[in-house]
Amino acid sequence: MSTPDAPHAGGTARAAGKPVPASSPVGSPALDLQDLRVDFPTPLGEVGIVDGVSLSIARGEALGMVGESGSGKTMIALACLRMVPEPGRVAATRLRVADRDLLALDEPALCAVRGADVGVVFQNPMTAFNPVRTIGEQLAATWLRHRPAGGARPSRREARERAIAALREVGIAAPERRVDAYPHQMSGGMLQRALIAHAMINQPALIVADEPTTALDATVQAQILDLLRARLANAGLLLVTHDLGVAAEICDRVAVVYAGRVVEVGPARELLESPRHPYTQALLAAAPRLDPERRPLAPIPGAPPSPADLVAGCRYAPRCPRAVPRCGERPRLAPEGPHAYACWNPADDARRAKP
Amino acid sequence: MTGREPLLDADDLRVTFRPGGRELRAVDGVSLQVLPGETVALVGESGSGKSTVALALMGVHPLAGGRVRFEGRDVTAAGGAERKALRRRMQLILQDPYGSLDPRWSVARILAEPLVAHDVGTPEERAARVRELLGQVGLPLDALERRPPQLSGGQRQRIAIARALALEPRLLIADEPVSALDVSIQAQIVNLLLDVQRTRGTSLLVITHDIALVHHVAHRVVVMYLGRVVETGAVDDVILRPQHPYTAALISAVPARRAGGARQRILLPGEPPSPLEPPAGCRFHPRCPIARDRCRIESPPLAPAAGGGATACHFPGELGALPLARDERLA
Amino acid sequence: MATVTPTAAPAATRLGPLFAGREFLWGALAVLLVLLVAIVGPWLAQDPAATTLDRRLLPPFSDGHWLGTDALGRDLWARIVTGLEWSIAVAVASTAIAALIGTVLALLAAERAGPVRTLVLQTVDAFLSFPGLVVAIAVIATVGHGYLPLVLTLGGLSWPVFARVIYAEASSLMQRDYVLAARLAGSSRTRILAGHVLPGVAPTLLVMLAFHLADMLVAESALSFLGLGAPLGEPSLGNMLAESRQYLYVAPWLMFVPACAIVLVVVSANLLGDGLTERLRGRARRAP
Repeated sequence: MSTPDAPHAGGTARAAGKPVPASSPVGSPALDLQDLRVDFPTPLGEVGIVDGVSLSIARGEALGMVGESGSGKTMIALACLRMVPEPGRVAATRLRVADRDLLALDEPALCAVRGADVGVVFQNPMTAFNPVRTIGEQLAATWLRHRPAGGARPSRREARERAIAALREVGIAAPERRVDAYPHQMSGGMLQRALIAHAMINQPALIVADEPTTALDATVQAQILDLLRARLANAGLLLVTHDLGVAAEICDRVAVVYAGRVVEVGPARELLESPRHPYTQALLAAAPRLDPERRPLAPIPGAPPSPADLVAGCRYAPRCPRAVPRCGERPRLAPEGPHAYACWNPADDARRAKP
Repeated sequence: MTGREPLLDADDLRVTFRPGGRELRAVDGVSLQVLPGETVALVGESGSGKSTVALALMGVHPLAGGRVRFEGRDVTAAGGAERKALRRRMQLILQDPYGSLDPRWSVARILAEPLVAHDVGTPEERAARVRELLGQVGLPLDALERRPPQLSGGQRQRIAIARALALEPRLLIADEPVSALDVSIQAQIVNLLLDVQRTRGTSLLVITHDIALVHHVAHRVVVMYLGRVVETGAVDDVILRPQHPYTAALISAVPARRAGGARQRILLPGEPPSPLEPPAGCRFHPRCPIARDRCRIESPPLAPAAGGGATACHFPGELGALPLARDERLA
Repeated sequence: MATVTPTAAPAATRLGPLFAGREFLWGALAVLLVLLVAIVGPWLAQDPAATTLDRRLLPPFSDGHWLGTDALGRDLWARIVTGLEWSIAVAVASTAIAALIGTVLALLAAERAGPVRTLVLQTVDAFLSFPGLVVAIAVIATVGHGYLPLVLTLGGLSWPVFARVIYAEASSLMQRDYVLAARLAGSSRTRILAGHVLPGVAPTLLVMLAFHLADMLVAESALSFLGLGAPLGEPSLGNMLAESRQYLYVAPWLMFVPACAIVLVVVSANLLGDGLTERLRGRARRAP
């Protein structure tokens, strides 16, 4: 497990592009992101949708990124693919997926990375597939596109076998038949499984899943979350979600994002049991839970800020009950341990406070 | 149940659609009651027919069978004028606050619309009532001249609630009132609904897929699966001791807000089948972890169960009695 | 408790995008100019029927006749503006009739499934499966010439164009949650149609009006060209074209002048329609 600010050894020693042995649990981190910024030009000047985010995900680790709509969480995920929409601009001191420096790659090279080194699972599986081609064709196409040049070109039959195997791995029954199905012939949950198979077919180092269960029913959601976790193997997972509970369910670590910045990051259990940032606390207190005694829900006053009117210093300060004068200064993620938070006046450690 | 007369008494509701000539029983014999001042949650996944029940209660979908009594009077048998008067005291809040408000209308016009439609008061009285409603849902008066695109999701849902309150209904039906909103805003809206109920004694019928929300707001709960009620009872009974395996699975699917630990979950295989082709016997049997031969043949009736509720299962309580790691979840 | 923060452009700037698109600006200016010429021109120009036989077939920029004269020595500019007045009057009135019939029937059909919807949709399909101009020729040949028969025929035959598009748009609006919410609030059908659906289809209607105007102008010209439009002696862009055929080699301007007028009006109206589309689409983007 790694910390957001800890330096990573080994990333530079290995030559870029050399495949990592599939069985090796070590190796360069799946994602290494340092001081990411995403800026959008507006009539009023540059607006930082993402402002100085540093994250790293080890191989086999799942990181949940939790935030409300407009927090910039999807933008961070898109930046990991260098797919931020125009006219947004991405800047970072480091943006590496496995061994590749995404900042140094041009568009054709990025296309080779997407789908091979990074797999993506979208929110709505119904629109993620092309409706006029079979699931198998689409899986096979992604697999074929990323075969190394020079080697013998795999046959269509081989690609089809690969697609069937991928569908089998995600628990789709009778994959030999399903491989020829069109997207509309499959249910939402099964399509989401197929989409996961699609994301994993080239054994990527990193899987980016943007709200993968939001469009699904509760009982199906549980299946998909379990599947994502179980099939992770040597890949890193960046799970983008608005639901702290979902993130904690399958992730090792959770990062809470507010107005384009990570405000707290730490081991999932620790974050839920003892949140230190007031925003994390407020998110937990705002959601109903299955407690025997019903506390009233504590809403967060006000609304998330629009990117056009952000305050200097801590961006949560205007809504924060624990704000102190120093909040006019920007807090950095501290301390440098597995559990870090960007707050001048953090809440007490709930676990230490207990007798 | 207490001796109080139910405010809403729906008996054996049936709604049938005919897509492409085939028969789709979206609601197939659903009964539910709401007492004055009570909150009832109608729970189910997509395709369970829960929203169809709401629209059928409001008279949007014609009933293929069954009866709706409101304030002791039969709405289904009532004539035009009486029906309109009865329906005025039942109001529905829709799920999506982005779609339920006309983007071209000002807030003032939106809120006055129900009053105009029912010919209530003079224009001046209506304007005063609109300002009062805005205060009730916690919005400032300067919102009056705004249009929905200028408001946030939470503010829009407040407007939708204010519109539903305009005619002083005795029953508010809320169809997924918060699922389109951000977590921090959800709490505001849930609290607003509970506040309305407390201060005005309005009954609430909350339609949702979110068991945690049900637990938080409801007194009683009705669980639907594929157009039928599978379990009903007091909320604590149902959530602590679910009798139907589907309810038990729904509860176990709620993400515990703690990570790791030895948690036991009931993972249901597959997905709800299409209501066009409901399975024979118990409709839940293809996904049920405890289904036996009897379940494949015989459809279980909704029968009184332990704990005062009712359940439609041949083997009630069997799965709920499994170690659900309840201490982990509910401690 | 909550404060209202505007998330969209304030009302004051709503007119801004109106002039952002050049197409709309030029289209609107050109259409206004054409209307001005058609309305004011006939009052200022010479008598379009005054024949001066010694000044026949004068080329443009001749003394006293800046567009020249025709075979009977009549002033071409006077005839053009009078013809424009006639043609535009026919196009505007028949567009209005078509839009009115089409929109009303479309709204009634969209409001609910039933015999009205079936009847309207079947009628629209039936009308659209015939070549409109051929039917128009047949009808006018039967009922006779004149302004009113012409306008009623053109409007009465082309309303399905409006009905089809407005019906599609209105029935999608009828599915909106806010229409359901209005029903639940107890609003009557007419209130829903007038308050929610009609304002919703208005942008589309506006765009269609511009394009239809151009279509009707062309249709009128075609009918007049065939001698079925304007009554004898009354100048119209179409019958001026028809008359010019005999003199194509001696006096080609007789053809060019009315042809250019038709092209000018049609292009202006299409420009306006395109500009409107662009502008309204821009507004839809801002307020999803």
